[in-house]
This record gives sequence, C-alpha cells and structure tokens, in this order.
Amino acid sequence: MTKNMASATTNVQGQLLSQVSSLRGNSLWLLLSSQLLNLTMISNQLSTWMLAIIGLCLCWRALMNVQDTAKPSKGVLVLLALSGSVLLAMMGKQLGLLNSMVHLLCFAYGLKSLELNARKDIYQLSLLGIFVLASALIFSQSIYFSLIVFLFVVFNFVLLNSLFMVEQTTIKQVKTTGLLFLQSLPLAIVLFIVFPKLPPFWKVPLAKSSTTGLSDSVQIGDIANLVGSDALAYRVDFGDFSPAYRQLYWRTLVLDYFDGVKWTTSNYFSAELKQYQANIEAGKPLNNHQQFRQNTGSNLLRRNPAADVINANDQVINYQIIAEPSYQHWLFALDVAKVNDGEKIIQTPYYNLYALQEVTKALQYSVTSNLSMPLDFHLSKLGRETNLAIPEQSNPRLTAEGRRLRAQYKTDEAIISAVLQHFRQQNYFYTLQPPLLINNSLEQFYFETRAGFCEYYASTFAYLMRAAGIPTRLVLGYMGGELNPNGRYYSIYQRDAHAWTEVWLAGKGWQRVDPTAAVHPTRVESGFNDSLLAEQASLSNSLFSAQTFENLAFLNNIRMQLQALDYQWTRWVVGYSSQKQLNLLSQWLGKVQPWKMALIIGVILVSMMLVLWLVHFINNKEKKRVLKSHQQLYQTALNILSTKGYFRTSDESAKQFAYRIMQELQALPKAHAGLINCFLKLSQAFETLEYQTLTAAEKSLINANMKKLYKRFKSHSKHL
Amino acid sequence: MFYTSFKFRLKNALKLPFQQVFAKWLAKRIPANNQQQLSSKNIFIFPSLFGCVFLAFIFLLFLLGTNYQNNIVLLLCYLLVSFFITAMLHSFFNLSGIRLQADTHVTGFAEQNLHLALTITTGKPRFHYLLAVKGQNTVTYSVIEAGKSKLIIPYCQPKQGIYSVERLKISSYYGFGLFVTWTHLDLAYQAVIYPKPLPFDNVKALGVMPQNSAVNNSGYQNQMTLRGNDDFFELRAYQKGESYNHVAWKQLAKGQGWLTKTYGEQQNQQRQLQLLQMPATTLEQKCQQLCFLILEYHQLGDEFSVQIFDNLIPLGHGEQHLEQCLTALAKVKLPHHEVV
Repeated sequence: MTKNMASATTNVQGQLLSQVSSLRGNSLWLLLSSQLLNLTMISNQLSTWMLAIIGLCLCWRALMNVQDTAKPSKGVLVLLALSGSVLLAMMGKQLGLLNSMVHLLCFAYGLKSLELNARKDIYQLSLLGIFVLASALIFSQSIYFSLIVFLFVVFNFVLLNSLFMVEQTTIKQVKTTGLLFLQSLPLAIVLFIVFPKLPPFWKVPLAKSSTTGLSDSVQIGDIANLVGSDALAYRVDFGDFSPAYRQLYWRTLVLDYFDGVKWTTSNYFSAELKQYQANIEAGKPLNNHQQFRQNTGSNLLRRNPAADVINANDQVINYQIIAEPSYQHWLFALDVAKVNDGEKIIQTPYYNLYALQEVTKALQYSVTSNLSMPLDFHLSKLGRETNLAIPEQSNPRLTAEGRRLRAQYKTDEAIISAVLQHFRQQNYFYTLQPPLLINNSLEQFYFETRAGFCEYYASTFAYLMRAAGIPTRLVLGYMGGELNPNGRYYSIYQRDAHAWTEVWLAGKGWQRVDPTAAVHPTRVESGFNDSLLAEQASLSNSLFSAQTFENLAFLNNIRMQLQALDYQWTRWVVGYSSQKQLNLLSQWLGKVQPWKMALIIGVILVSMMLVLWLVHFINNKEKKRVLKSHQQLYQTALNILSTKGYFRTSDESAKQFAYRIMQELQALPKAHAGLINCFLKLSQAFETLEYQTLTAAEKSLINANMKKLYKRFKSHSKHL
Repeated sequence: MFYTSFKFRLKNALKLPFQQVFAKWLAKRIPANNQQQLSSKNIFIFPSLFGCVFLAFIFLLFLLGTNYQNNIVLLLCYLLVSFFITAMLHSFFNLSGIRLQADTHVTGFAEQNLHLALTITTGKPRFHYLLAVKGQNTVTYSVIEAGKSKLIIPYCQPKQGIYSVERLKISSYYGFGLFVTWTHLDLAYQAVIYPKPLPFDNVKALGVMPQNSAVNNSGYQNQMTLRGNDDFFELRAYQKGESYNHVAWKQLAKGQGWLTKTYGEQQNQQRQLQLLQMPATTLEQKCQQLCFLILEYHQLGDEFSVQIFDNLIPLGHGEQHLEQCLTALAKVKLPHHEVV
C-alpha cells in the first residue's frame, strides 16, 4: 500500500483554525484517568476530607465529560475553592507545613479539572500532575513505587501528545510518547551519574508521619504490635562475613528508667542528648563520644575510652546498613559499633547510634563493629543509682523475691544463673499471644501466667535484678535477620524486634543477658520456629505473612528476587550520595574535573542526537525515489530556470513546459535563441529517456548528449 | 491621545524597519522556488511559551530534589531535561525532510475564497501542520500520511490585481506543545485576481445585451438590435464559412439568394466591450461591471472583444479567451485610496 501511496496523490482535508477544538472527548477521558492515577500515588498522605473534596471535583468532571451542561457556575467554583481553603487553613497546624502544601497542591489539581477551556489549561494540568507525582516521591522511593510514578509521568505526556496527534489511536499516542522517553533515558542516566550532587540550598519542612519501629518508651505488650508487622526495618550488607544468628543482637535503644509500668530513657540522658543536638545545630559539629562528654559534662554518660582501640585478636567487621524511614532518630548496629561515615550520626555512650535528623527516607551508613570488645567497665555513682532504681510498691512480691535471692546467693553471677535456671526449669512458656496482665503487673507474669515473649522476660528479669541489687537496664533492638541469597544481604523486619537486658558486674562491666535464650533457645539460635511463625501469621494483617512464604519455596524465591532488586535500587540509586559519586567518578576518570564531566554529557548528547537524526533519515528516506542521472540533470535545469522566475507546474508535462518557456522567452526583448534551443532539446531527451524503451547503447548515447546539452544550457542561462 | 498616537508611531517606526530587514534576510536565506525541501536551512525552532514554563518547572523540580536530597526526584528532573531535548528533535523532524511543490498559477475573483494548491511528499506521516499565508486564514492538517498529498491553503484578496502571494508559513506545535517549529516559504505563487463581478442592468444602461442564443433557436428576430429599428441593418453576399446564424433566411426563402446580415457600427459596439463605456463612476466599479459583462458573454458562448484603455483583445470565445480578457482586466491599476 505504501508503494502505491508514493505515486498516488491523496487529497487531505484541512480544517480552519477556528473550527478546531483542542479538547476532544478522547483527550478529556485520558485526562481524567491520568488525574486519578496521579492522585492515587499521593492519596496516602491526604486526609479523608481532602480526598472527599477531590473526589467530588473528579466526579463532576466525569459528568461534564458526559454532558457539557453539567459545568458548575462560577459561584459554585468560588464557593468550593473558598471552603476548601478555609478547611485547609484550619487543619494546617495539625497537618504540618509539608503536608499542608501537598494538600494545597492536590486541592488545586482537583479543582483545576473543572475549568478546562483551552489548550493552556491542559498544559497547566499536566504540569500540576507531574508535580503531584514528584511530591509523592518525597514520601516513598522504593523501586516499584518509583517505577509506577515514572510510568504515570509518561502518561501525562501521552495526554499532551493526544492534543497534537488527534485522530490517532491512543495506542499510537502511547507508543510515540513511550519511544521518546526511552530515547531520553540514556542522557538522563548519564546526567544522574555525572551531574554534581549539590547540598540543600535551604532548609525544607520534613515529612511528618507516624513513627514506625521501636519507640523510646516501652511497656509490656508493646512489642506485640511490632511482631505482627512484616514491614522492613533495615537491610545489612556484611560483605564476606557470615555471622551466626545468635551474634545478631542489633542494639537500638537502651532504657534505664522504670516507673512501674513502662521503661524509658532516664531524664539525664534525654536532656543531655537534647543539649548536644542544640550545640550541633548551633554550628559545633561533634561526632564522637568524648566530645559528647566534654560538651555535656556528663558524669552519667561515660563510655569506655578504650572503645575505639582494637586489639589483635578482636573480631572486627565492616558492614553497610540501609535503614528504612522510621521517622525516628534511633539507628541499629552490633556491639561495639563505630560509625565510619555520616556526620549526621552520633554514637551515644549507651553504645547505640543516633541520627541527628529524623530518618524520613532511606538512610545509608557504614559501621565497624568490634564483636569482641567489652562495654563500659566504669559505672558512676549516679549511673549505679539510676540502674538500681525500682518504684516503690509497684511489684512488691517481685521485690521481695529479689531480696530473697540476694540473701540466698553470694555473688551476682549466682543470682543471675539462678533466675535463668528458674525460667528454664519451671513451666515458663514462650508465646507471642500471652494472656493479659492486670496493670501490666510483672509479678503476675512471674508467679502466675508464666507465658509471654521476650519483653516479658527481659522486663521481669531486669526488675528482679534491680531488686536483688544488681545494676540492670533494658535493651531494645532487633534479633537476627533474613539472608537474601540473591543479593547476599540481610533483611531485618519489624517482627524481628527483640528485648534483652544488660547487667553490670564488677570487673566485667556491662554484660548482655537474654532471658529469652533460657526459655526458648531456638529464638536466639535460628529465629522463629513453626509454632511462633503460625502465631506471627495470626497477628499479621498482611496478605502474605512470613509463614506463607516459608511454606511456598517458589513464591519465596520470587519475593527474594524482587527484594534484592529493591535493595540494589535503594543502595545505588536512592543512596547515591555526593561521596559515592566522587568515588565512582574518580574510579572511572581518575581526577574528577568539571570539563571531564561536561565532556561526557556532551558526548552522550551529541550521540543521542545523531542516532535520532539517523532514525528520522531512514524513516523518511525509505520510500523516496532514487533519481536517475537524466532525472537529476533535468531537475537541476528546472532549478536554474526557477531561480530566474520560471516554474514548472505539477500538471505540466516536460514538453508543455518547454513550449511555454519558449513562448515566454521569445516575448522578451532580448533574444535567447540558444537557451531556448538547448532547453527544448534537453526536454526532448529527458522525455525520450523517461518514456521510451531503448537499448543500452541508445540510452548511453542520449545520456551523453544530454550532459552536453545541459552544459550549454547552463552557460546560456547566465545571460538570462 | 497624543501619547497613544506617539506610541503607535514609535511602534511602527521600530517594527517596520525590522520587518523589512527580516524580509530581506529571508529572501536571501530562503529564496523563492515552487519546489522546496525543508531542512535545517529553512526550519526555525524555538520553545513555545509552554516550553519556557516547562523549563522553569524542571528547575523547580531540581530545587525540590536537591533540598530534599531526593535522588528519585532528581532523576525525574534529569529525565525531563533529556526529554525536552528529545522533544525538540522530535518536533524538528516533524517538519524536516518534506518536499513541497506548488502550483504557482492561481486565478480567482476578488473577495472569493481561493485555494492555493500545495503537494507535499513525505516518507513518514507528519502531524499537526498549521498552514497560513501571511494575513490570511490558517488551516490545520492533523495528519499528513506518507506519500504524496495535496493540501489546500485558503487565500483571499479584496481587490483585483496581480499578486505575488506572501510567504507561506508552515508551523507545528507537534512535540507536546513544548516547541514551535516553523518555516516561511516563498513558493512563488502568482495570484491573478479578477475584479468581483458587479451585476448591473446592462440593457438599460448601455442598451446592449449579449445575443441570447440559448433562449432562442429561431435566431433571426432576437438577433436584431433592440435600440431603435432596423436602421443599421444591411445585407451582403454570403461568404463560405460564415455562420449560418447570420444567414438571412427570409431573403433566402424569397429566392433572393444567400445573404448575410451584418449589424454595422451598432453590432461592433455590442461585441466590443469597452471599459470606459461602463456606467459606473469609479474605475474600480467599471472594472467590476466589465467583468460581469465578460462573464455573461462567455456563458452565452458568444464572440466578443474587449478594450481596456489601449489594450484591445480581439474577438474570440472560449476559456482561453475568457482568461485572457479577465487577466487583462486584473492588470488594470486602480488608484490607491487607502491611506492608513
């Protein structure tokens, strides 16, 4: 068909500009669906009332698409805009700055859809739509979310394309737009890798969201909420090192104050941390514990000065952690940890890590842990008092039990092993669904119900130790991790949350004691067993719990693959910092210099343009006729004539044109007999070659003749 | 008021030289030709208003991504930058490579909506072309399929004359509206605009009327002049080859032999249409009236000659004759009235 097209001329109907309506039905529905898609990406951040208003706007738009008369009057629009703004102003404080702005953006986006009169309205709407998508990226950057966002961005452009590729199928519009984006990808990737990463220009409001993970005050039963959650907490890359499961005690929070119901961080520590943070913000960047102590003048907070000294026999490991956004400050590490990079992370004297800024997006840091190193040997007087304090009358029977133990055994070690022995031998039961306790009573658990999980045992144990006069504190963190064989990294989920204790023994310093190990050894040796997994599944509210995956190897494999992909994405794309950029570029280019980067961008840009040019050239050339030599000669002769103002019309044959030219030239005052003669003969030769069947010899003869004629014609034409 | 007129004059003073310079530059860069091919030599491309806003938007995204240190937003930003460049090439290639051929000879009447014919040859489909001659209506072609296509561009002139049509602007916002690509081509269109026919009662005014052969086939009676009697009527011997229309059948029947009727001066006057004899007062209206007469005579298939000032177009009939007469009429130079 295309071959025929090349020769046949088709008549195309054009439309006068005034008749063209840029907004066609097809476009309008495309627009509505793209709006809906854009908004779903950010709907998590919107409050219900805002969703309702936007829903109203979109429904109205749908009505208008069906029936043009459904258009709201100006008054209604103003009323809608005003009431939305007033609501927003009222809720502003509660929402926080960033969320208010997101609400405002989405509100404008929804409202705008009611006012589509001209092409520029669609321009505005698609830009707003892309901005909505971009702001959704502030709240989540996982690979799948990002991919969907990018897909929807492309969809916004399909919409724009539909304005200019009217009367074409949507599939064709999608194809064209998608192809263009694919063509744009190489340069975008190079820009991403090479273009310098700048520090923030100014401070921006951070995303506010409910915190996830461990909280800094805990009462019995709290962790059960976490245990039901299959959400990712963080991922760790150990490199070549493969740790034993029981080594993976991820220290996160240290709680040393018990008020009878809940464990919290003691006031001293909190206050000092706050002050320290204020100092940092005032421009005194400090990142080690000694400066911390100097700065706060703390007596309570003292860390082993030898903590950073590594002995020859110590087991030292380096690893990378990527923490998921928790909207909290606390980070995770194995004892005894030292942060290698990141000025934004400090090490507290409790040996845990603290991010100065809330973790609102995936945070990557690298840690060196000395697994053999003991914790503090020193315990100040204030520290001792803090770690021995138990509230009066909260658990009298337990207090009495502690005192009895103290009287019965001579050493602290003996008391500890006696209690652990008690847990092991008596009928204690490890379960994620323990019976309820009245008033969070520890003694009810210890003496009566005897069923609970890590937190029950740790809390009760710590209380008992304090009652027996041994300084003890509660440590919250995570236990274990799931190895992803595809990515060779460990995933730690919220369900891995764990609580254990630390007791202070003279001469040995702080020692980890995990009562769970006494009750349920497999929990600390290899993680949840089948019965625990079943319990976990019943607590979990996700469709596929850990148990489901455990049972279906095939599904589990897919899950691991997908997660590994997301891990690499988080590590290399989300976590591509200026430091990483510098490392990467200096690896490739040697010394990093601006001109080298500019050169790379330039080369890619030019090659992209060349490729596109080539594609266009081939596309356009395909059906073009190749001119034979006599056609070329005749065409150039025509071109010469046209520069003099003589044009051959499309319906004129060569002969007719030649005669017309002859007449017109003869009418001129100056004689052009030579030129006329040459052109007549040239035209004749052209027609002979074009339309008559000739032998090869004849052809070459006429061709040669034509060349001579053309030369003479050319010289004559100069006088015209 | 003084101020506004001053401003107006200033604007014109600035605008006119610029336009002239631009026109000169264009004439040099894209010379007139009825066959042209679009390439980087004659295509202009520039971001549209939306394109500029889009660039500002990309910068906004860059600020957002940098301030939040959000790599994915930055990636999106770079993707859009890259897309902007791709879209630029894309819209350039939508125009580039087409071959145009114009049928340069255009004829029509003043105030008539005429069509300039343009044949476009392309190897791939092209989208969303806007075509307009300067000062004329714009026409949109949403798609031009691969192959040869004949397009029509509206053209209209209010006054008679021979016009070389202004440059044709072909433009397109294809490429997401981010860019506008355009070209100004002089396809050497020559428009011969005849006067708009002005009907008038020619019988009353001039006492002339074309020979109404279509109505009467008996011929004789109605070929008589209407002014007065048979005064100017004379008979002469019939010569071979003369039209039977003019044979005097009455005399032939009476046995007087073959005779031919001639109409003398009167008849000559009738068949020779003179511009200056038209009843209207202005030259323009005279032209329009003459145009009307020429068309009337042509429609009836009669022979006639036309005299326009010194230019006498001899007796004749048929399409070519008509065109010759009308063209001569179109060439009449009207005095310029318009002074703005």
